[in-house]
Amino acid sequence: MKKITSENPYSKTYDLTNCDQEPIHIIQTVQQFACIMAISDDDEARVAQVSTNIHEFLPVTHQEILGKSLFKFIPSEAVARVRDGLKTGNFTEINPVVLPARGEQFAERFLTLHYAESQLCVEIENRIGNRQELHFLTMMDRAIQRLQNSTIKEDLLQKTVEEVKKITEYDRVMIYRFDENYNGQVVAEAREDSLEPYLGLHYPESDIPKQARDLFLKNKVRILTDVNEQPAFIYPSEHPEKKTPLDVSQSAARASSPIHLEYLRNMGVGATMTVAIVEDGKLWGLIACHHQEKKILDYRTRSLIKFVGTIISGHLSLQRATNYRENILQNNIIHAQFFEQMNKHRDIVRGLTEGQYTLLNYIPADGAVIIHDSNFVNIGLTPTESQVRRLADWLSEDLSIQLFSTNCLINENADFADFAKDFSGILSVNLSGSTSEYIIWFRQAQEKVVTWGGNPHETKSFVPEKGRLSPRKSFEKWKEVVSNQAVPWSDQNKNSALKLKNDIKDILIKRFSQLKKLHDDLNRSYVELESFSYTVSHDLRSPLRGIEGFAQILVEDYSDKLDEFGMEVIATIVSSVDKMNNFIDDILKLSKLAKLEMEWTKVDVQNIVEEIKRNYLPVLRKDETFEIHIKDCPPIMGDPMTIKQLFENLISNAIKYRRKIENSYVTICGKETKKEIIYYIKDNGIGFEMEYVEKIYEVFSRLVGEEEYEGTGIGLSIVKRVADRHNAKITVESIPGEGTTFQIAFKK
Amino acid sequence: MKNIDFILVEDSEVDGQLLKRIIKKERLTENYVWMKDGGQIMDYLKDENAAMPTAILLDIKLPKVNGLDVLKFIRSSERTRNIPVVMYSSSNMRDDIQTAYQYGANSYLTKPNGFGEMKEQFVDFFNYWIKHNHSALKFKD
Repeated sequence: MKKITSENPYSKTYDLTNCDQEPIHIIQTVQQFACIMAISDDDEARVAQVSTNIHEFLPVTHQEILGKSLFKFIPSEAVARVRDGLKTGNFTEINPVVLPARGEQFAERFLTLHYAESQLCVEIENRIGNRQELHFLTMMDRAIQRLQNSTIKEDLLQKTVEEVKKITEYDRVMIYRFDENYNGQVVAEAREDSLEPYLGLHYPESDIPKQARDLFLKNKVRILTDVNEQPAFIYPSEHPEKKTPLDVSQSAARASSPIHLEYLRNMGVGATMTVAIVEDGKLWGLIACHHQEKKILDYRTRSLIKFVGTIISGHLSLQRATNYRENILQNNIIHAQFFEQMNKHRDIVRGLTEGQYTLLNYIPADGAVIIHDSNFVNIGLTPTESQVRRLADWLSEDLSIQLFSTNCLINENADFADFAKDFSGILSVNLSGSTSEYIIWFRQAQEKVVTWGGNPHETKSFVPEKGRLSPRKSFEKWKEVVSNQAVPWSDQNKNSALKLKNDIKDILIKRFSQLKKLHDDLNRSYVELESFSYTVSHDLRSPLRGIEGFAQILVEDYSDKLDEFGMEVIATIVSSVDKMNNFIDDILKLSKLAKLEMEWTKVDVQNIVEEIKRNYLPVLRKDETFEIHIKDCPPIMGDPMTIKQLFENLISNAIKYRRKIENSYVTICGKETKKEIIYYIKDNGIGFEMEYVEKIYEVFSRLVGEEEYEGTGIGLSIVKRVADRHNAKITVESIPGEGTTFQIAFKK
Repeated sequence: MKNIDFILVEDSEVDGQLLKRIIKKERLTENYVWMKDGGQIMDYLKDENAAMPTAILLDIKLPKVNGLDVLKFIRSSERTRNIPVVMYSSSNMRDDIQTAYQYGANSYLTKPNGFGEMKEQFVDFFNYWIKHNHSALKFKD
């Protein structure tokens, strides 16, 4: 068996690798400012174990007192008090029992009782003068008043450390707060100017391991008076009957673990005091006090400081309840305003990413994306589009998952190593449930966003690191722990995300019914338009036939009675009627395009264009040379009837506006790209000024005089409408006197 | 019972006058009747003493009863079901044409724009359905 010494109080070696197993509650040493003994739980109060420094507090050595009654060594009034306590079992009533001063050798002392498991323990320590206690009471009174006036949490914490420092006069007072994984952070600090600031520093969970945290819950104030002293041993190391070591976990004087002492010495700390802040039975954080020299606070003063911890705990609970209410209220307001903004925007995506409220106010994150079909919209810091698409593909492997969240993406899927280190936090909602449409929020790894609270290099008195343990090394260790981890998504975040998804669904459903109504209305108008066209064709043509017919009858029956001018008049009537008939034909064609039903098949453009060419050949032969060149004409998807009209109009346009020169031509040529089939209809005709480009598709608009070129001005409107109905993009380039090229891009 | 060559059902005064002129000028016949609405021909065909025509030239858009309903009636009545009916309309809409054939029209003529074409078309109609009497091709039930 290993020898137990002050350097090594255990039978086994504990170091950084297993310090979480260090059995600190059975450390068999106590600090010199107090002595401890295990006594029998009866009238005799026989001493079974005792610390070797007993002679500093009672006129007896540890060997002498063993097996004897404690009552032989303390005044009879004190014995009575202890007996009272034992009778009622309520030690808070009697603690501390005051042992009066005895001459020069012993000052006034405090005796306290507690049970460790079933073992009755007695501790005796010196009282540190009246002044300290009174001074404390006054200061506390003022401090508590000040604390109670603070309303903001940060303010409360900062005031607390300032007050505690003023009262206790420790060199440094910090509040150390745990996150849900018990990693810690210094959230408030008051210190001597000469000390290096620790504010903002993070510590890994292992710095205050679970067994240490458990002790803080039991024993809320913990004091370490001198990190350099040799502690006193408990003698014997095992209870003579129970054969177990003494459980010192509740003892104020319990010595510290050698690992912890090394850590403190490396920081240049001489003495410490730690007060637990407990909220709802959970360790919320600690008030940690450091002193460069050794420093003792006696039992009474420690009790007072414990009270500060209790006040803070109460205050935190209160603040949390208030914050919770305010958060909910605030969240509801943001949600309502966000919803309104979204609802107002015609484009939901823009409603989510632009304006006063965005996805990032709604759920705090570093970036967010909306991804659906070919659309990708991002705000803030996000991975690249292709990275996000990979992520979305992976998410959509299981579409039944409505919400996915992680604060460590790399743990979920190592394939995302290329960006998971930077964007560790992912919160996503699937918008449709059937396709891969997502809103994804991103949070960066904490390491990326956390820095030291200040720049430690600028502090004059920066203590160089010694040994293997230091706060700065702790910080490095913490960074390693969280290097792939983002701040976790809270339940509230997740609820907000789901709420948003439902909102979007509601809006889409509402919009869909609006669109459907619009669609139905339009349909009705189209039907009305069709019957209108019918009426036009029927009712307008009949009188035209009359005009033309009777003009012809006039020629047939009265030509001998009419002079040349009379005959010319009749010819003009007939040609005007012709023109009118052409108008009606074109308007009918145009209105027929409005019909909703379109066939959707593969259209053999080659065939169509060749047929058009054949139809125009007789007309062209009469005239000068005009060529229709047909090159590659790949098939497209569309409605054959209207596609034919499109080409017919473009070709007839080219013919109509040809220049009267040799080698005038129109070329029809199709080109296939990855996503489109693009048709070029190029002529070397009269062209037009590009400034009129918008006019050419307008119904009845013409760029040249009617006398020169016949036409109704509807042809290109038909072309445009056919292109629109096929979702094809039409563009035109023209140079007056040189020619025009139409380009129509059909989607594949 | 005296027979007549054809009944023209046409509400347009102008079209009717033009056709009258063509019939007269081309000396086609004098044995025909021009009725100006759908109700008139329905009444006529329902009259058991009325002379039945060799063919009927029937406009679609008509006052009172439209041409398609008149056609439906003709095909449903024992006495008239075998009379050739040629629809005569300005409309060249697929729906109208299809419905007409579905109801049992023998032919469908779209009214042309020019007087010249109108003349040619009418003469063809007359020659085919009346002069050469294609009504000999009887309908089956």
